[in-house]
Amino acid sequence: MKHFLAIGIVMGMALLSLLGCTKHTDKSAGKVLNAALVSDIKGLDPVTSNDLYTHIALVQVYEGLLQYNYLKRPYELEPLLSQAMPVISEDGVTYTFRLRENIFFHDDPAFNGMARPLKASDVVFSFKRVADPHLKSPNWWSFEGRIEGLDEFRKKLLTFKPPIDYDAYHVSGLAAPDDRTIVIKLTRPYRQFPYILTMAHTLIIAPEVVKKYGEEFLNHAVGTGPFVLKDWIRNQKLIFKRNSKYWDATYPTEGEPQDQIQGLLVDSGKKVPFVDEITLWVYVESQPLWLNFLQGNLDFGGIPKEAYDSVFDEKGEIKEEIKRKKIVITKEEDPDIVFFVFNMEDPIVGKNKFLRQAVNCAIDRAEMINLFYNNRAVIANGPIPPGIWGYDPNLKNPYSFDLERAKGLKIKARELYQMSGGKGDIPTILYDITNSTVARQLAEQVSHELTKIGLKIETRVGTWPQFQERMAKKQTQFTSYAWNADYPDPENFLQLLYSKNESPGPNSANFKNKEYDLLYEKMRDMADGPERLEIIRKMVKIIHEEVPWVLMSHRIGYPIRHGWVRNFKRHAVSPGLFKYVDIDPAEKKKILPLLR
Amino acid sequence: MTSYVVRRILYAIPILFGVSLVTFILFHVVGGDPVLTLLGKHASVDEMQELRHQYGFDRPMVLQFVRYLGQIVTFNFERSFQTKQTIGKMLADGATVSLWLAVPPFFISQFMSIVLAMLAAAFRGRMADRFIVIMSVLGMSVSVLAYILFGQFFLAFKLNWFPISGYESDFPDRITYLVLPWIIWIVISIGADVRFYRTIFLEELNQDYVRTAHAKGASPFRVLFVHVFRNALLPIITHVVIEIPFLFMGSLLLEAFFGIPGLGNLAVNAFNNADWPVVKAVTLLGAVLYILGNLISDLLYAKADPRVAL
Repeated sequence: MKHFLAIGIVMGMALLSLLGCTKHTDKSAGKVLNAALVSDIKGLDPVTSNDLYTHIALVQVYEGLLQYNYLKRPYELEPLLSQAMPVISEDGVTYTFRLRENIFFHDDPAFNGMARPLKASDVVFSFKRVADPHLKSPNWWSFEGRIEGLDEFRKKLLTFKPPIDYDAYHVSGLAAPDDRTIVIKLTRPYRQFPYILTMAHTLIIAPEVVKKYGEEFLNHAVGTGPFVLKDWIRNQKLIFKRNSKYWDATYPTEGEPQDQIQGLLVDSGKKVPFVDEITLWVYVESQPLWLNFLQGNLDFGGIPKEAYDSVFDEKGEIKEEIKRKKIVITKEEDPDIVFFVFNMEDPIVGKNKFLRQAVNCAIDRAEMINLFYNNRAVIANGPIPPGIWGYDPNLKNPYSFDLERAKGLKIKARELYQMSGGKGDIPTILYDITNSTVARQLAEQVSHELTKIGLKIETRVGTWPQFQERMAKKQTQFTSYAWNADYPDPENFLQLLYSKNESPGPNSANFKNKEYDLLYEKMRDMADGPERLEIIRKMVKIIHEEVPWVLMSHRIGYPIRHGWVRNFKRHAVSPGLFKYVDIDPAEKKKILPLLR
Repeated sequence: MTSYVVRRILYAIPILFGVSLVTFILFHVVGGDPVLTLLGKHASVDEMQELRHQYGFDRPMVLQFVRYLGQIVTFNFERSFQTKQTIGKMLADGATVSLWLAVPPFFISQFMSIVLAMLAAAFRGRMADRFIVIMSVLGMSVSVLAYILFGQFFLAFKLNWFPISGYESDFPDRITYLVLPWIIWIVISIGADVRFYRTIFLEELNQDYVRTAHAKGASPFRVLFVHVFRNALLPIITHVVIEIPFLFMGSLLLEAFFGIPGLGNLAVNAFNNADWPVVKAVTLLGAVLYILGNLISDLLYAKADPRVAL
């Protein structure tokens, strides 16, 4: 027995010593910014980036020709690697950019120990890379048919096996007459083109790095950006350290009127970045993210649905306890839309307008917003969200929640169904969802609401790839979807119902309406103004009348941060500009004890 | 012995073939189209066809399966569709982390379970036995998720005894982050194991040789820890060794909640992203480890019990 006692004592001591050596990092030391990503990053290759989280990681390392002004709203573009905004020819097809001087890529073995300045040819290389069919960029749509000669270049590359020397194939629309000038010639005016140049796939890379790392390039980010990728543990964290050779980029000097009051212009004109290091932590579950934020391990956070009541009281006001901890919460509308999609090619829901109208009237949006977003969303009356030009706050959805009307429309829908050869009542509607808890809860609520008008719903659960496949193959009948702005232009939302974008494209409803298409094609390249607004109104009217969607909500973001974080302003279209954010170590030291 | 091992390895071939066939069918029937995940919402039909051609998805199913079998034979699963990393590196990185997460608590929990089960069996029907059984049943009845949420909230957040989540690849820093997941792993697994081992020990305690040993004047301690334990070793070995392959796979929930970059996370990401090369490799790794586990367990039988002839 003595032996067992001895083993027990040794094990106990070992465990205690392990606990004793538990390393609690001195959270008040240094300017290290800790932020969270709620999904892992697949790779750091700009051309294959396809999600918000990859965008956030990429913009620490890489830079594009243009960026959004950090503070101004409505969103406004400004030059980044370009010295000034491009000179646009009168016909709107030629864009001339002049690069800033003395910009260098991060040091990397790919450059053989030499400082490597940014050149105009790097921009041409980066844009040609988007067109390379072997790289399968999900963002090719943004250049397709837009840049003179680029589509032909793409076709030509198809006949060769990688690696391909892009310089061997000239693209007439992409020219670098000298080391600092880039001339881009479009096939026709493309109003959204400057916005495209802020997107992650247009960030500038160096050909030497691509050549050196080959297929592993996406694991070796080397750009001109404010931070250098120091370490990356997949599924866990990315660490970036300040780029000591970063060019003389400065904090913005202009913003919205309230920015001055909120202290967001104190650092105007100062050189960025302010912090020494950034760690982006991957949290796929909300609890560790939230607890790490509350403990001060994360500088920013999001409020999970289940923690809402611990932050806000019954009146929706921030609780005193949260204020006492100097936690700052702001409220900002997201440029997005949440909607249910009818497959217009489905013989039941697609051919029965009354049925779609009945479903529209049967769904209690306010109740859904309360249940699923803790009221952190507003009812959508049209496809364009707040914050995007063309949003009409006075717009009313003619098929908003009205249970009695829904019942009447359901009767009409059944009659129409029977007139077109159907027998009995409308068959059960198949509702496709992904295999997440929230999606299942949402399906239960939808089913509950539609039962009230005598409609039956059958939920079909699938993995994300299965869900995508069903959408792409037009195999769905009814499903839910959300769209966040790629860029702040109404076209980005109205294209979701353009017939040429049908599945597998973003028009998941497979909505086809000639009048809508003509209006879209006219509106797409127009400058903002009364004429464009009038066309948008007509398009929205068609959407209201034809009901290819159930317009649900526009979400409201509640970014949350600690009191020691300075200069933070959420950018919903192009997030992650951490070069402007600062940490106040003295303030952090004061606040940290309050968190315990 | 050698001929037995060779025979078992040969038996493994049809098993692996079956696993490969089922994986292949499942992936193609319910796995979703990886091309859609890779190309995104704006991809044209031509682009999708092009990528399908590049990956060989447009070839007849039989040829695709033959290619897959070729990859198994050569252990070359190429690169991940999503991360473009070599599969071998991904598996090695993930398995190392998963083993760090799983092995220490597994052996601690096995040791504790055996000791507690022996005590419960020795004091059958008495207070100690009842207490151990009740605690085991309670432990088994609570969901894994509840333990994780409680541990993270109470022990890490409220009491600040452990980091809430995280992982470090450096030693001994990594231990700092693993202590809480280890404790949770032990609590989760100990209940079922204690009950299982208790049944085994009780069965042995009713054997004639135990009565004989007592009659010969052997102390209760010697009877329990020498005679009974040795005879109960076969089912214990089976239980322990069969579990070992699964340790490589880590624990999805623990990895997800504690931000531990192990094989569990890797596998789930691969399934969710239709990352076919990773799915194939992980499934095959699981099957191979299971077969190996069985083989080792059989070999250990012979060591533990001279009556077992291979």
